Amino acid sequence: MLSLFESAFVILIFFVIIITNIAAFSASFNFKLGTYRSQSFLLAGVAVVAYLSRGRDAYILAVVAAAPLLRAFIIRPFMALTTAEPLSKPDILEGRSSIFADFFAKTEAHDYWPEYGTPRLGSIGTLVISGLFSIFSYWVAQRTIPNASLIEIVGLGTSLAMLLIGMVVMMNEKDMPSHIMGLLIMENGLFLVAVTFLTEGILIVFSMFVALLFYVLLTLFILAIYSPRLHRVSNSIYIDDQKILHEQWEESGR
Amino acid sequence: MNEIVRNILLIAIFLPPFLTGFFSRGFKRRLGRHGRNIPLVTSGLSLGVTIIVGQVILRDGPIRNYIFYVDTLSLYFILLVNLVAFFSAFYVPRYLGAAAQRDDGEKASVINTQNRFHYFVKWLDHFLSSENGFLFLFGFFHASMLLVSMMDSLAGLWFFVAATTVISTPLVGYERTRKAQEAALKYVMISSAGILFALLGTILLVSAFSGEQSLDWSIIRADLLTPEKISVRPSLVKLAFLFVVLGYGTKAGFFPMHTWLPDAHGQAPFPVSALLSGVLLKSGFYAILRFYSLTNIALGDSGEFASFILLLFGLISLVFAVPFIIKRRYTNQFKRILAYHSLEHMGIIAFGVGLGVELAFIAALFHVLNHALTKALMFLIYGQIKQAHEKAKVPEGEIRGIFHSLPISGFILALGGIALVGAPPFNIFLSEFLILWSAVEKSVAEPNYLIYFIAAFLLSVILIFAGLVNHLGRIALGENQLPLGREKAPESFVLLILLMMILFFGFTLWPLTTLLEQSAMILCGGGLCS
Repeated sequence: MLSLFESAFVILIFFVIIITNIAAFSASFNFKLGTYRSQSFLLAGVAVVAYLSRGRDAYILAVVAAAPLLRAFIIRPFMALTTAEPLSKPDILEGRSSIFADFFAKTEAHDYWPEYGTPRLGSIGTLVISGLFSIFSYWVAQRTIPNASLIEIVGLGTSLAMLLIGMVVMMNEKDMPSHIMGLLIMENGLFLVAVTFLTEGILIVFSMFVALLFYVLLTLFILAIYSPRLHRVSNSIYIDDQKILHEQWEESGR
Repeated sequence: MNEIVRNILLIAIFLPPFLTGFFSRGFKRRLGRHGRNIPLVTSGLSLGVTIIVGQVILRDGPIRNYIFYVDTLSLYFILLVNLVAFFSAFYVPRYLGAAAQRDDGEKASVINTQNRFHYFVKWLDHFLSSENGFLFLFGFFHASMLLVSMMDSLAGLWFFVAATTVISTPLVGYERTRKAQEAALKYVMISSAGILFALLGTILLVSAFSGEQSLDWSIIRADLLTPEKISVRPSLVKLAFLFVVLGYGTKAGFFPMHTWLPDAHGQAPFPVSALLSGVLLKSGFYAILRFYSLTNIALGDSGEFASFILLLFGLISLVFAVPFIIKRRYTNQFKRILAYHSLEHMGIIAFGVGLGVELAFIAALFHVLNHALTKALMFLIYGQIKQAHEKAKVPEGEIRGIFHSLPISGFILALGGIALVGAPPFNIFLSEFLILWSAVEKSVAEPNYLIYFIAAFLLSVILIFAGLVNHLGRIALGENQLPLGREKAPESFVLLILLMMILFFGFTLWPLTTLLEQSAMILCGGGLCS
């Protein structure tokens, strides 16, 4: 019989996997962004439930719940930052009272994203693939850890599914902001596996989450620099327009 | 030697390049053009300290504190990073000088925004594209690769492997061309996605052991060697190792995660390409070695599982490198061809470790050094040749006849190329021969699928030999594109020294014999090397 917290954990994770699949097949970038934020909020909830189910000693899990919350809050302004220059919308970059306010000043950019986020395979095709990956992930999790608890199996299965679906999003999308969404979904998957499996030692949990959080932030920062740079040199942030190296390689043989 | 001095020595290994990164602006402002030599000074200092630390470790055993753990295996990789960085740093002033001349007419872009955060991002972008930015990144890149080999914590190891990606991306895209930006984007996206699998593997491995969880490699290993202390979930360990190989294999350039490699190596400035190919790939492989050792001890299966995985990845990487190298129709972009050679050699190294016997470990580790030195030589000399042609406005695809126009560089390139394909009497021949010898010995002792693997290995190496000789012939022979008598001998002096080292290691493992033997012993365990 599952305890109250275990049930809550499984229910939250159930919503996480549903939302991840929706993010993969939705054809609107704005909607993808919304699902990512919901996914992050749910994962923060998962971390809190994990803390409650494991008792006081695992308080670090409640602390690390801040990581997905932070990402949920910064994702929209971050995307605005990376796309503001390509979209030539200087009005979303007006000065505010502080550097933080300036960062969050760009949330209005969502009005300029309607054309992004269409999957190459179409919504149905993508849903079929992400669904198959989800089933495969739970199968692998169940086969890999036969004597594990339900939480471990569900946690590992969902994490694997999020990693695979994140990769699908990266390969299946045409524009760079959506590629970044794929990467972020993968990182949420890792957060989940860490919450599920790292149970002991404040230092372990803390160092793992700090490493992950810093890495996410640094990667995002590099991408924030590269999206405008790419747009400057190629006049596009569509991935299909960034194949000059590949084309040149092919042409050199003809 | 007391504990404090030992700890200071450890910090002194990575501090010089770290300080280069940190104070690059100040150095450049005070020293002007001479500031370009700072990476050479700091990598030289770091190399010197490494040699001192090496003496201490070989005499007293590993040095461990709260953050670092440096044993002979770490020391070997630290030495490797410093050696390649030292030779690459010689060419930083030359590269930056040529880049400054080329960009002379290009005005700095105006940062025109009221938004302070956006201003900061634009300023950073501007800085990373500047000469100061290059020195800053070069220093931090060097330091982060050193820290990969020094970390005891598996989370720290992961973080610094990941940091190498973040730091080297702006270096790959340093030349502000469209191709360079595309290569940088591809590099950061693929590596970032790949490296996440490595963290998943790390978490799963830590969770596979009962008892008090630890992230420190040395503690996990010690616990595993006392089986009564912890119990192991073998299936989770296997899954963890698979993810680790997938994740760190992306950094190490294994097939099929290698796709960033030719673009990034091809577009990066040539001293950076030497670092990327020479040591960055090895940093990824170093991480795999640490997990390989833990997996073998945890499973206690005489390396059956982990060795087979590495053997398979190694052979596939080697075999799939062949078509990319031998295709005659790809007539330009020699740096891309060299990048595919990295795929081949990382395959050979993984194959060697995958054999799971002591001699093969020694040979594979020796091959790590040999490939790093030879590839650094090739990238540096080709960069020099390319620069000379760029000056004369000859496009890269039309570089021909360098035996006539640049005879010293042509000579070094030809000999380096012959060394790279594993011809005697050069270093790569010796290490490849030792790996093959171990494979044949193992195959004779336990006849199984290995004999087919050896056949595929031999065939691939022969085909690759033919492929590179063809590409080299195209560049070295034919009608020269430059006026004669342009080359000055001192320009290539450093590379001649590197060539001598490559030749020297074709005859002996000395003075690395003890270091290699002790490093190989770290990989033994879990029933291996008995």
